[in-house]
Amino acid sequence: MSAHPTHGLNDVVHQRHRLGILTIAAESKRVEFSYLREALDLTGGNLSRHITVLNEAGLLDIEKGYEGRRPRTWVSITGTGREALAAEMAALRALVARHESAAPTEQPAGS
Amino acid sequence: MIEDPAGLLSSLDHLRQRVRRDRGGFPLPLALFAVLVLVAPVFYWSDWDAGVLPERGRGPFALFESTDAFYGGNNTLIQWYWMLGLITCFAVSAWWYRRTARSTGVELDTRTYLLASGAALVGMVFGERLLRASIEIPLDTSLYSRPEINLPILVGATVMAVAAFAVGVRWKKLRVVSAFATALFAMVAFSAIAVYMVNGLGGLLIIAVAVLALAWAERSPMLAMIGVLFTVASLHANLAGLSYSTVGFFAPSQLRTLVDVAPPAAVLILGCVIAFAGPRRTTR
Repeated sequence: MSAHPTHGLNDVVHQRHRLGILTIAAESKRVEFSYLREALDLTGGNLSRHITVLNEAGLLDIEKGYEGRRPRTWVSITGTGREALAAEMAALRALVARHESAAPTEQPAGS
Repeated sequence: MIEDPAGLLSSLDHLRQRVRRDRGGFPLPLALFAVLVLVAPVFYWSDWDAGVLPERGRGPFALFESTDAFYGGNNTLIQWYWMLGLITCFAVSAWWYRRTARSTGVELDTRTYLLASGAALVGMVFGERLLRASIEIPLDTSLYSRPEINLPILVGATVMAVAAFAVGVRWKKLRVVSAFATALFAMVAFSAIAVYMVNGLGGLLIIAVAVLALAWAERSPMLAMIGVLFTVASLHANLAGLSYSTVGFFAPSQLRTLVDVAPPAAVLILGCVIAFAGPRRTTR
């Protein structure tokens, strides 16, 4: 019997906001901190904590710099991050497929 | 975001669509290419028009030689125009995406676009000469009239380029080797294609490759459609063209070239108009 799809979920990646960060980063060469904050509707502190976790796990690279006098932080996804994201998406899709294949067997009450 | 897997996947898909919309910026590259194509006829004057038959010879970038130069001499000005114009368009496009990223906060990865455009430029401009020098001269023949030699090179190199690209997509660790092999085989394929571009409008095909590569980088189905239409129009301009059936062979070079490049230029302009009318970026 094959393992349940939830076994494929990665604790570091699975958190919904971290999944959002990785999804956005995977679609770009690099993405700025404020873009992530607005797109995910997070506070700066919250986003910073998630980025630190992903960075420490080797899934994101962080690049700090200045544009004029304004500090800017850019993040980009690593090769490991892409693989982790792909695995997580595959696990989620497998989970959805499992739910959908199980659904027709459930009979509504009273039928 | 919603917690259930289906809801989570759906909200991630919305995020992905938003990023693709925000990082996009192809109207400017399309406009640049359209201007490059529409201004080109101005430089397609030739000694043939002046009634002079100059010495036969090929210029530095013979792919861009006009038909008249093919029969009579060479027009170095148009060759430099295309070469410098294309390089400028590629460089300005890359700069444009970086500049867009500074205002939107999300940057498109233009490496595939630049690599594909560079491979097309080098392959078609220099590879074609190398191919001719390494096959035509030893065999004392013409690749243009020997499809039994040139077509296997074209098909073989295309198959190898696609296979090398697929390896890079499937096995991420081999991406660098795959990119190198894809570019190399693509350059050979472009060299073989360039053999047939005798109308002097090979620059259009290089732009076609750039537009299709940009569509891949932006993951834009609309730009891909524009790219396919432009490729078809460019191939027609290079292999046949509208000028002989409309203004005739004896019309001035500039007018004939303008008639030939008008359909591909119209496709680029149409692409710009559609893109401007499309969905806007998320305001920050």
